[in-house]
Amino acid sequence: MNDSGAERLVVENAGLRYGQLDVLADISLSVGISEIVSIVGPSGCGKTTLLRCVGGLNQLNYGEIRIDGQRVEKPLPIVSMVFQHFGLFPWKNLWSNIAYGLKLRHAPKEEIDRRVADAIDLVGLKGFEKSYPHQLSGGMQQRAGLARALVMEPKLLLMDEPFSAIDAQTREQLQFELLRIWDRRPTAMIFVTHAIDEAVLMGDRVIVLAGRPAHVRAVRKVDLPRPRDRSVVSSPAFINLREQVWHDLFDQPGANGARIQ
Amino acid sequence: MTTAGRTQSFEGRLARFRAVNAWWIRLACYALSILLLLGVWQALGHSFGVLFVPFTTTMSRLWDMLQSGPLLPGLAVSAKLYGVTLAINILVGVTLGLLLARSKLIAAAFEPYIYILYATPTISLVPFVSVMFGFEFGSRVLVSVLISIFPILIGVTEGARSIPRQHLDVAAIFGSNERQLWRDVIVPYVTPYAMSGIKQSIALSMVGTLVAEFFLNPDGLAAVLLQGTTVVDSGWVLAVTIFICAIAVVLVGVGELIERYLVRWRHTAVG
Repeated sequence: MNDSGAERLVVENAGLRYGQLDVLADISLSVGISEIVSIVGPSGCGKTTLLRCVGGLNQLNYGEIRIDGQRVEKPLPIVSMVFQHFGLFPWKNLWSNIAYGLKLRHAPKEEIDRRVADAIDLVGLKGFEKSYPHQLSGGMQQRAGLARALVMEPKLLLMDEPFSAIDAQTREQLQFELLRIWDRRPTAMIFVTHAIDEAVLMGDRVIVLAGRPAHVRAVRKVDLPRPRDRSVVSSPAFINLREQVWHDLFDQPGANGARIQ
Repeated sequence: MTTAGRTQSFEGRLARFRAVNAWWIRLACYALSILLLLGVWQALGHSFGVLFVPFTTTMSRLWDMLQSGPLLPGLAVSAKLYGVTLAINILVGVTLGLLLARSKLIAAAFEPYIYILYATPTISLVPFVSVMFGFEFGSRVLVSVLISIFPILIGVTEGARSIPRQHLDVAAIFGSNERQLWRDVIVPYVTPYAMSGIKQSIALSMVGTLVAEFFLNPDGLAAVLLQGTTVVDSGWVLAVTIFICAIAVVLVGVGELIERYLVRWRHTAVG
């Protein structure tokens, strides 16, 4: 967990305040080159704000965020993000939404065509290229949001509660599809969620944030085998971890202290 | 039993809803309401006599005036004022609207005056305009624009101010520069607001054109209208009015089609 070059992302003593209000306090964490780190915490605890800082959308007041050794002061091209409410442009069809980032970079046309087609294939949206977002279900819109991020081949993928606005069945389906996609090409990922199950299922580590101001209350290592499939969810190890994270979240601090592992 | 009954009544209501909203029923309602209006007009016309001539008389007067008369030459004069007014409305309205929305300083400097001008009856400004700028084309354009620019100006400002943060975040994350932000986000987002303002302004520019022509040394269609009013020739006045309305309706319809094309991502059917 030190800055030895094996880390893609390092956050050191990150702090942020809006006026008098402390939002983030002394947060330190790191994400390995092909590691998924889940960040779980109650609504409004500042986990999305932390993610926005990593994405370069918000600026810290103190501390530092480095991605591949590069200080984050604005959005970096090696970082991509999937948004809670999809964030598709309603005036662009699905193909154009997914091609958006590559077009901004003036990638050659053949390359855009090839990479966008691959990404659409990967998330299972073939045949919907010409559809507009309002014609698609929430699940399909988020598949497009995922494709739009993946097509950039990011080195760090930021997931901001990506499945929280999607119905339960589709959410489960998408969780396993994301795991399948990640298995094919492991990428560093921060997965912000308020669902404990999801945090444990996705992560190699789960960081429990408590607010306000947001601070790291516990870090749990998730020793579940990959590739993970449906059977993981019913395994004793999974259930045990879910309980631990639950206690990290809801037990009063001081009862047995913040347990760092 | 109850469930079945409820289902049936729901399906019944659905069927009724579909029937009521069938295109031919809507078209029939439309035609019926026009026929009714024309019928009332015709009946009133027959009882009022020369002060309010019937529909049929009006239409034959209109036909005569189109064949030989001041209508088409008047239209040519008014069309020029109308065209210049609408062009200025769109150009200035959209540009100023975007500036107001994107620059707090410009908004602080100009916005109060815009709302004051919007609330002022432009007619009351006409004497001052004529004293300061005379009775010529420029003054007419000014009066006409003051009457008809605000829907575009206010629509564009409101639109550009309401761009959701998420759209801007997406643009930032994917590395958009300022020029790309305008092309991919701001302009497409504001287009529906601008088009709805432009549609209103298409109709209002007609009002503005006529008011300007009416009160600043009568000319164009307004002069033709005045010619009938002064001699209390209701057939003449109604014919000119119908003529102006028809043109306005056609122009608004064209605006509607342009809007549908530009924001087709909203109107396309589910498929």
